[in-house]
Amino acid sequence: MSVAQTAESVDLAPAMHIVEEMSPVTSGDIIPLLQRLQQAYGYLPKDVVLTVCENTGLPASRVFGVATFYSQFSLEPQGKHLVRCCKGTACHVRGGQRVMDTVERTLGITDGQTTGDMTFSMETVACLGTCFLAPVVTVDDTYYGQVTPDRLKKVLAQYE
Amino acid sequence: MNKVTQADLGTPAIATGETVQIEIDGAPTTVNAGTSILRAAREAGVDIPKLCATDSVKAFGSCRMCLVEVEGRRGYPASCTTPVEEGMKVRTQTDALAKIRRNVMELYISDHPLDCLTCAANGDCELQDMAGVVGLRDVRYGFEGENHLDLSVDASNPYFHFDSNKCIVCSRCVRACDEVQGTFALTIQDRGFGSRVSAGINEAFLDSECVSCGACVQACPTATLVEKSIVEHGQPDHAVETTCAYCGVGCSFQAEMKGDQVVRMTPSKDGQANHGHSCVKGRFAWGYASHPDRVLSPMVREKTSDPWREVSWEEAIGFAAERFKQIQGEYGRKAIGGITSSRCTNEEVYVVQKLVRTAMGNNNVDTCARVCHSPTGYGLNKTLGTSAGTQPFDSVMDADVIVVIGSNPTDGHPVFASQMKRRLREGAKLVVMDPREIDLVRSARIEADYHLPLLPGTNVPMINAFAHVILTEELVDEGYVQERCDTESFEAWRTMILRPENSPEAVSEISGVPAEDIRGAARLYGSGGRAAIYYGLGVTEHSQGSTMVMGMANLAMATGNIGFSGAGVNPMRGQNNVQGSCDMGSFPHELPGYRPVGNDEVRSSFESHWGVSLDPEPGYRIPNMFDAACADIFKGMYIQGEDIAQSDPNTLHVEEALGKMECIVVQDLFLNETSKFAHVFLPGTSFLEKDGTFTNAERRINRVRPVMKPRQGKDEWQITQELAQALGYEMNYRTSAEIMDEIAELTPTFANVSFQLLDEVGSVQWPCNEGAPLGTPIMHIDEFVRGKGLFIETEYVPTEERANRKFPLLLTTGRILSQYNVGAQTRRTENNVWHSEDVLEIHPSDAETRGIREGDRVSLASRKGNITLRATITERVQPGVVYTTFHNPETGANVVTTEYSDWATSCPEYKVTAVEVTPATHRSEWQRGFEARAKQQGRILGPS
Amino acid sequence: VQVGGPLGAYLTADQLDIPMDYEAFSAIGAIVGHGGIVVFDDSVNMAAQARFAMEFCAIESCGKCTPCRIGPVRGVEVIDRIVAGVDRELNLGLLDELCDTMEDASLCAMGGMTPYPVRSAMRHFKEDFGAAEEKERVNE
Repeated sequence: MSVAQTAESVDLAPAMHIVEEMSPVTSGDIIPLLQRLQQAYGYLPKDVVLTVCENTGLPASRVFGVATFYSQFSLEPQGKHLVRCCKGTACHVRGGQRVMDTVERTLGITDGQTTGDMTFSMETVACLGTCFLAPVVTVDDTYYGQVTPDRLKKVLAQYE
Repeated sequence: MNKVTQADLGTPAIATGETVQIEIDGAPTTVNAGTSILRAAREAGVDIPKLCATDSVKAFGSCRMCLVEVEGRRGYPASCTTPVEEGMKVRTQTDALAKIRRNVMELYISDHPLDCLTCAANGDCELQDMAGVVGLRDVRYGFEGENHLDLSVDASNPYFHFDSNKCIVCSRCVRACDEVQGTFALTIQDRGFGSRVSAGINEAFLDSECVSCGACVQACPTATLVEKSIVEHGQPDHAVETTCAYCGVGCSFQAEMKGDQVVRMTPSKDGQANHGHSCVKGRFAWGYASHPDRVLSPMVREKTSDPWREVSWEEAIGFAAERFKQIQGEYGRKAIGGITSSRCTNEEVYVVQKLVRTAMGNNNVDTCARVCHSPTGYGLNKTLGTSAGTQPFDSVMDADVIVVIGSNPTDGHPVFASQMKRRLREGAKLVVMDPREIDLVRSARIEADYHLPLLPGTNVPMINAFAHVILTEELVDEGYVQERCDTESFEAWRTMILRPENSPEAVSEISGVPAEDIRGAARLYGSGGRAAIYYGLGVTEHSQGSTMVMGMANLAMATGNIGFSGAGVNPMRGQNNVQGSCDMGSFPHELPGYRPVGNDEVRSSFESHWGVSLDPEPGYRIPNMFDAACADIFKGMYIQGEDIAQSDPNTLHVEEALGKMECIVVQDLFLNETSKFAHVFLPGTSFLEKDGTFTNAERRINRVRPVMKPRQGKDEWQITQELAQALGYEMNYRTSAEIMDEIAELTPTFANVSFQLLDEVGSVQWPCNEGAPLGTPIMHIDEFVRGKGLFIETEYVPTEERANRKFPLLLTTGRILSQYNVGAQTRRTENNVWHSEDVLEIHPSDAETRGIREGDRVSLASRKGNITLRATITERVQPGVVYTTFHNPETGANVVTTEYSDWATSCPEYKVTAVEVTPATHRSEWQRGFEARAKQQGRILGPS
Repeated sequence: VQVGGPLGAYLTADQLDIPMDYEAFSAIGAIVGHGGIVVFDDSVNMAAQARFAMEFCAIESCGKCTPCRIGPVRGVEVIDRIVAGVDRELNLGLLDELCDTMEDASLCAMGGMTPYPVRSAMRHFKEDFGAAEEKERVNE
């Protein structure tokens, strides 16, 4: 689904297509607009944001404000796989921190970072809504419940 | 001396018309319904602490300092976001509130540098003040915790810096940029403790969309956004209320002073034209007044090839008078004349035209309005009966449909543009008629409903097509026309408009605008509610400028859109006192108040007061002066504050005329292009030294007050008075107030105006007389000034300036935000960082066929001359049209423009010139000559 | 037992006999919230849980109002000092006042309710705030 990208040259056509489909885009549409852009590009490239603003009359500052407010959006290229570690109460007391440490050590990145080979990005989330599985980690759309450090290493090894 | 700090009532005023009774700390008070508790309290003299609230923006409720207790309510509501209700009992000071406020303040200070003593805002910091008010004595959290005390300072903007370390994240700057200025350049990035103010997408201010209007700096309660002038000089000790000397908006400012040094200009909240807002020019670009280029000594020279010689005032004035008398002796009384300046005060202008009519004994007086808005005076006078716009600026807030024609408000009249954008964000519809895609067509939260990118020179058929739609689709306000207009003229006009060549389909062919868009826009104007037209030099500076002005007046009358708030026909006046200089009798055919010199009764009233007999024959207009000079019958000029050699069209012709004259006296701040042809230079005063009045685009007469003594030793009216005396006419004003008294005595529309009245009420809009003692905001309310509104037929006559094979493109010229007119002032400020040279905008397709790339130097040639400048490739202009500005003398944009002009008023056709653009390697011959002359003319010898 | 999500108050074993309704919970300074119940055994360190509540607020705060923007960051720091035994009494008092400030002055329930778990932990499990340095800290 992702459009292949390099940081230098971004194909603006998918962005323009999205804008066209959503037209007229008003300030209330910033979140769905960014969601679709992020889906298309994997992240929100600066040139895409600026072009979209120019073509919709949305203030660039405001789009940037929204993009940095919500953790679901990223202005940096993201890894192929997104690992999310839950920090909710239940996960917290069931060893969520140890799980998180394991991810960090295994992948060599911390919250909000991406591995050098662009395979993994990691972020922490407040709650994944599956407290009964605590501690929980998701990789892309797959949930891994009651994970232990050892099991997690195996899980991560399945992805590349 | 005025207090420096302007009162802040916390939240904007509410005018609901209803009042409620409430009790604040036990004291009953009556306030407008809907007012916030915070404002109600402040109006009653009770200062509830606050940080995030300020009365220029809507309440936000984030700082939690203004919490209060309301009887019968749980908790502690924020007084800024809570409106008053009948019978409400509020307590603003309780132990619980004191504790909350102190503890919230403690949190603020736990993430704030403790460098108050060396901070630029020391003495003018709301955080500091509030910490004192709530009695914070200790920060128990210490200063070792997480903080934002290590961020870099953004000093990219030349006038203010952004120091995020001192930011309390109150969002006042963000909200001011949104609500007051309407640029939306700022935002809060990230969230929670990481929340920070960011320009654009985390850019430097200078690289962002920021237009440097200063609203954010004004709104900032700390030293986060602070003027560099304050950083450098410290806090002011007093303030003087005065009026900005840039554009026709006429913003009121507080000149904040330290002794006689200006340290800051801040817009006045009480300013009736600007309501506390400003733009980059008025707010920051005042440094030219003390620029080293300022000439402070009178100078003379025998020949223009000689170096200048600094002399005494007596010698300079005597020299000028002798030469003028010699010329009159040799060539006759009418061989000399004068030009008044729209940059000068009403009083200064009045004495210059009086000097021409009395001491020179002729009517050879004209003003720079000749080359900008003379068609406005003519057209609106013919149709409605007054040579001025119909509305106050505030009227736009009642408009449902706004039509902007040949005006670029966000660049030319930025403070009014912000008000207009506010109305557009509230939902008013917008039609833009302009060859170029100006910012209003699409910018943050603004999108024009129609942009009609017509070819330059096709205004008149376009307005006729609008009228055609109104007539054929039965959108005429028949009752209004029957009751208020001259119906015979209406019928004649109707017949003319209904001719097939005025249909949108036919006009589409000429203008290049799709007929459907013309129809849609015209329908919107005719049926969208209160509709207002705002227009600029894109209307007037055409061979049919006056026709177009009358066309717009016709349209407004036919749809019943004159005489109430939200409607009208509104000229966007270019210079600060264009309206005033016209009002003051600066035209060769009109005495003050637009009264004809040919009228015996009018003339005799002036004659008896001035003690001379006046010439009943109109004098020369500016272009006639040039022609007469070339014909060796016009030999001397007294030019007050206008640089005709740079600003007037067809520079080569102007230079030839000036070169042939025997005495040119220039009165200005700087040695300008015209002074290169002058024999006498009389140094003038900047607005900071002037005592008088300016009249803005809405006929508002505002006081200009001196904040320092004239730097060259004399008021400008005194200089004129002494020249008149030297020419043998007695003028004996002691103050400029006396000049205004004479104006009021002789001009019926000014009868009630005096400095005293203006000092009392702030400003008035003329007519201000017995019938309207405090002025007239909206004109033509029940009846047109001329009686019945007159429809005038507006037949399209294409300009003779046409594109052909040799000159296939049409050049149109304009202005940009950061520079002002010929740039004499703004080029001598830091505003150059935004615009250091004039560039040529060209469409990608035209650029491609000519092999022109972005930034290339190109030659711009017309039938009149050629220059070189850099090209920028943009789709703002349409194919076939190129655009440039004329702010820099070395560009010489007017070398290219022609002397075609408005048929009625001789206003030059700056907006249409057939040109060709080609890649260039050398500067043009004119430009090389310019450089050589600039070198030679810079020579000044000290007093001998 | 924590009822009602991460900002719900902690209840002790003695408090568990309580009808599951809004009024009854409100009466003892607790909330029903989303109704979720998290049960902790006696190995949990309630000071760490109080810190977690502050940290949660710091992460989730939108940053608009000051009590919720700066308050929880300071809250975490103050709890850390308490736990580390630095000026414990003074910092316990400060934490209590910070809870007042957040509860009374926050713009919305995010900052306004963060004090619930903090205060209930302080009230019912004082010992975790007193002698924590000797205990092994769970989950840290």
